[in-house]
Amino acid sequence: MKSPMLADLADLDPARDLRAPGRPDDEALQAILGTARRATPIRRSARPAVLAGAAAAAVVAVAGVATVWWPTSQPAYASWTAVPTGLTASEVSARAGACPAAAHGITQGDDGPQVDDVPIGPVLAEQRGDYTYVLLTGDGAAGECLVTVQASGATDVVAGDAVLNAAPAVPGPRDVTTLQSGTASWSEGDTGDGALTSAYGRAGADVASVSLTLTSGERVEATVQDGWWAVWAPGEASLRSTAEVTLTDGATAEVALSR
Amino acid sequence: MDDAHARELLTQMWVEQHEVVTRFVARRVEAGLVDDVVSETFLVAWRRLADVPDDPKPWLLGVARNVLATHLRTHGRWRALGVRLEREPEAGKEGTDDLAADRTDLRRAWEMLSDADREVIALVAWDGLTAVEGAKVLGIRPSTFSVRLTRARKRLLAYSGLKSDTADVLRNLQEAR
Repeated sequence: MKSPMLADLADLDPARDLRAPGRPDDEALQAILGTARRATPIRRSARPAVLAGAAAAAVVAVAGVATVWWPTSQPAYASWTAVPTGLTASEVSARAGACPAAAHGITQGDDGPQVDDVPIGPVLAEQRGDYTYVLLTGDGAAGECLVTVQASGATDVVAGDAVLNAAPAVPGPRDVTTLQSGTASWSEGDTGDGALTSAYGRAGADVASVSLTLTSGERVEATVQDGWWAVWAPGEASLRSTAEVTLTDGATAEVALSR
Repeated sequence: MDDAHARELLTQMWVEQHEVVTRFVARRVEAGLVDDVVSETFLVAWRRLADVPDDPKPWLLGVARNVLATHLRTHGRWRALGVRLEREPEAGKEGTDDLAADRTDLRRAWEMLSDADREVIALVAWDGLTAVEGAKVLGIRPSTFSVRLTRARKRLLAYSGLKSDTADVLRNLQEAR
């Protein structure tokens, strides 16, 4: 295979003198081993949950790979509040600017695994204590991003994303659908507060509010904004699997987060 | 696959292939990005351990190539995945012997090749792959790889045999294109 000319070319190899042996205790390797291995590592629940409204809701399959960089276990989110506060438009754009602008899907192409970038942008943002949660979506992809502004003024960002099999269907006006629901395990980062449970999806035009209940019994208000809803709470599996949807006409419906 | 076994597999892959992947990446991207791209490559392997074939090298290099392409695109520097050449030595450093002259010819010829030509040649000459392995990295058939390699080699040979003033004219023409 090798001609003399190719052998001569070896002298021009820019990496000719580069040595980079891998060792079992390399930090970079340990960082990788610390991340979730499953194809949908962001969630403990293996399948997407579906929050059905009064009428049957569309099931949106979540597949592909979620990319996630979560901080290590630390004391929980002390300033978290059960009722979110809104953000001004300028706050939203400032915080969302720190979030990733693309979801990464890994698909099996003809030439092996292919990393695809899918652009995503913010559709919903809320504040609970020191924590800004931003939901980002794009063409068949979604991402979550938690931004914390530290005392030093530095911004800490953790984010996860998922490429969905199909674009999320628009639910009927009185329905809500869930795209993802479950625990995110955070295994990387500097200022992590540990695992959190989150859920998000689409909300019909007549949905006024969505509230859930913590396993401790405390009620948690989700944010409903521009056809999307989202909620998160500290801890693993901390949200009960039912939600109460209130419609603009005052009617309420108890709906289940089904697997 | 249980977690302990998975960790063992990835650690073994890291120990055996880290240098190969790092060198592959270092040939194609600036030094500051090498570690990130290598880490991301092994992260893909970690998430897709079940898909990694028994001979992981071509698979890993194929992933690294895709990660590189994604990276360059993400950073707004999307271009054909060029393979870099060792930096031009300072004038006079290489001396004037025949070997140095040959190398200068070869360097000039290399610069004239298309990125596609450089890539197939680099996979063999630098990354040390066989045609079958190189074909896997590029996701093409081995026969296609061989044909491309033969053509690229012919062009390299032709360009390196050109007199330097002829080569300069040709290169100017290519750049003007």
